[in-house]
Amino acid sequence: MIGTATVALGGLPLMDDADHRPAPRPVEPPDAVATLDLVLKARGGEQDACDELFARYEARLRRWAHGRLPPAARGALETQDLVQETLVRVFRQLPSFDPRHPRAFRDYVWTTLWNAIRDIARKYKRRGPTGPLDTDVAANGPSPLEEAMGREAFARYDAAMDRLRPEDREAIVARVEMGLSHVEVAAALGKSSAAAAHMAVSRALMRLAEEMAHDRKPRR
Amino acid sequence: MTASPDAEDPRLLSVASTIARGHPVDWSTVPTDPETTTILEELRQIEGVCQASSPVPDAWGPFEITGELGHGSYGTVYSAMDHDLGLEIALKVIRPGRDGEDHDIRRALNEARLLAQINHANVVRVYSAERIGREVGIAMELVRGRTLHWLVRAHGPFSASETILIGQELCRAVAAVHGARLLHGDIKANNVMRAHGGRTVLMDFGAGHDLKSSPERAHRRAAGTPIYLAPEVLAGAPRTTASDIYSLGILLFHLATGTYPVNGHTRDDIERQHEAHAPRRLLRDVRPDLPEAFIRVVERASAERPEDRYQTAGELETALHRMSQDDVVPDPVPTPLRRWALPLAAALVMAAGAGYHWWPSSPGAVPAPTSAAAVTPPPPAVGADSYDVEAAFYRHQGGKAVRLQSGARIAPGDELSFEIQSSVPTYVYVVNEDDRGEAYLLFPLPGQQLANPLPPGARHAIPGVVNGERINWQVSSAGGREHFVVFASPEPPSPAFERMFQSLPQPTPGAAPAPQPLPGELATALRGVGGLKKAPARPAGELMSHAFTAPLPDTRETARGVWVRQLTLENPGK
Ligand SMILES: Nc1ncnc2c1ncn2[C@@H]1O[C@H](COP(=O)(O)OP(=O)(O)O)[C@@H](O)[C@H]1O
Ligand SMILES: [Mg+2]
Repeated sequence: MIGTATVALGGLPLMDDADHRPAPRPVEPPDAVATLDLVLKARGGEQDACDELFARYEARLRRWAHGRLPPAARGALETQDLVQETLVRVFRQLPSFDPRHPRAFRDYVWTTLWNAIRDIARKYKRRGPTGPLDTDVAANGPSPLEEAMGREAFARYDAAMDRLRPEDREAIVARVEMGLSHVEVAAALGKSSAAAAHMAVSRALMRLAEEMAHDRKPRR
Repeated sequence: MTASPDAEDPRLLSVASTIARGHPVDWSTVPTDPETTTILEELRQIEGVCQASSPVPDAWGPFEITGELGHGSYGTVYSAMDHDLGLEIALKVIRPGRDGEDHDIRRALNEARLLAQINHANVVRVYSAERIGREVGIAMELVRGRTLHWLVRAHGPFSASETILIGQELCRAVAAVHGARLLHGDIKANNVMRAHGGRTVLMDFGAGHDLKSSPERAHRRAAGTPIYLAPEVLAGAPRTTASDIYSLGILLFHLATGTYPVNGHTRDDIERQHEAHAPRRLLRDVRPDLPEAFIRVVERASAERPEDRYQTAGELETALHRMSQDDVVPDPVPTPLRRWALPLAAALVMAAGAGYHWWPSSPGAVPAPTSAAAVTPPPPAVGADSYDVEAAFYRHQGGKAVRLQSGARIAPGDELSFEIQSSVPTYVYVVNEDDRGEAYLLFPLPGQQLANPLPPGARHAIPGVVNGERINWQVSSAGGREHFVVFASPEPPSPAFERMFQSLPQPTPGAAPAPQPLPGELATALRGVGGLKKAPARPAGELMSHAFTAPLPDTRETARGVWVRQLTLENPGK
């Protein structure tokens, strides 16, 4: 005969309704930290972590890239290759960093993605009449961002973005080019609230406008 | 770089702020002076970009929008804050296209009305619907979790027992829908979410129909997703409860395989194959390991002719239930099918930053993946440090021990034990957690004869002998689901980790401990975000057992570093 120890597995009877009612809780910026975890796993070569990262960011990065790529590149974008490749490359090549400083990590990822997305855009631009895409008349066509602003203004915008402080650029990319909510922007930028994020974006936009204006003046 | 005086100009800031919100600026009211004209001109350019990229709005009606959850064919689903209720909700906003404006609005209001008629734990709960201008917003319960579509894509197919459990919950949902004389019309993996905590939630009634208000008419092009649509519906017959059951059958097939019985990319393709009675992909070909009874249930649910199907969702549920009742559902889930392995390995690297790492003196050491992640490319250097480990939970009945598979039922009074064997000396920790997040440390406990590290090469029964007496655990009360998480490692944990395990409530022979939620700290540290999250409060419904989803296999595994597996048992108490 064996003795038994009583282990209370479960406390109260489960009542479907009471149990499943979503608990009220404050709005919490999503994912900022869990992402670090995923990135680390992705670096360790874990397929699932990569999958999850794609699931989480693909749509947004696609949107970002979409805005910056000429129509010819969009075919490639639809096949997911560009975004996927970019993500894999960025996350796989992360240098080691100290997880106690998520800020440094964040800036690194943003900057790397910024460069990666613009490299893609430039690559497609450069494929002029002699490039492999020359059959496509639209190879040099304007990207949606370019189209929204006009070629000349976009050139100023892009050059000005390059000169901004990284945190201003991140704010604009996250809100304007990726279309994240202000709550998400707060998480991405490490701001304390949506209102703070909105303020950061607004100020960044002003600095961007000033930078753009700079480029315009001498030509007057 | 210093901010120029302009950066503080309140008029400019107000314009920039409007642009950042994604709202149109009324330029006619913006005062201009020579100082600011150029900058305003540039802001105007930027406004164009902002509107072209349509950023997530800050608010819709009374709701503060916090993010985007999903995008469907008819609208966007946001997460949003309802400040009146103090509740985060899901807000589905339907924006009618240029054509068919009225149709889309009617469809959206119809969806809300159908949802409002159903009050069931497995159907998404609707709070309200509102129309603002040309848009309709449906405020719903926010389901924290993933769609079944996402889960299959990311983790591979479900095991038979998991599929059975999900299938049963869906049957209950569909029975409630049909009971209210409604049709769902679009049951598919994309329209079902699995909440953290395991609850299955049916949503998206956009293609639904109320049989009470009008009989379902035949549609040449019935709404719904072709691969899930019953053959008779594709051929133009009206939708019925039997066509919902067909969709359920296809969904079960998909959960167990990641594929569908019928191939075809377009609606016409699929319709043609049905018409020609083309041979279907067979469940037993894709998953020969599945129990025959399960295969027959799925085949019957998705039978070509409606009269061959289960006639009601309840009937299908009964068939599934019979299988889950079976003590020994043969469920040799091959580990490769569930590719989500080794969360702790990465978790511990993160934990290092917060002063929690398993190895007291190896900062930054990255444990290699276990070979359990067999589908993923093998880790670079398996070999030297790998070890074999096998573990199982048992229920004791009339002197016999029945090995428990994931999803097996337990009930108050049942006696349970655990066995583990490893090829190297191993440090083992066993934690029990229920759906509410209340947890106990089951091993190691003071007074237990066994102590870490467990010697290699022998099967160790846990709890084993405690204070000179051979002991089992006994289930003392019912409570939904029980998760068991097993940690094993050839290396001892750091004192910080050890302390955290020891801080969990511990059962003692003959006495039930006061249940206590798992300390948020432990969950946080174990999940690998220790010390990084400012407020480590665990969101409701987020359990440790969900951080560690790799199921306990029923075979030996080769592992490296820390091996974490979990087993979920049903303890509904009926
Ligand atoms: N209540 C909810 N809670 C959480 N996520 C949701 C909820 N409703 C919808 N979603 C997400 O949004 C996606 C689209 O929602 P759905 O209702 O299916 O819209 P559609 O009719 O456009 O297909 C879902 O697949 C899911 O990911
Ligand atoms: Mg849907």
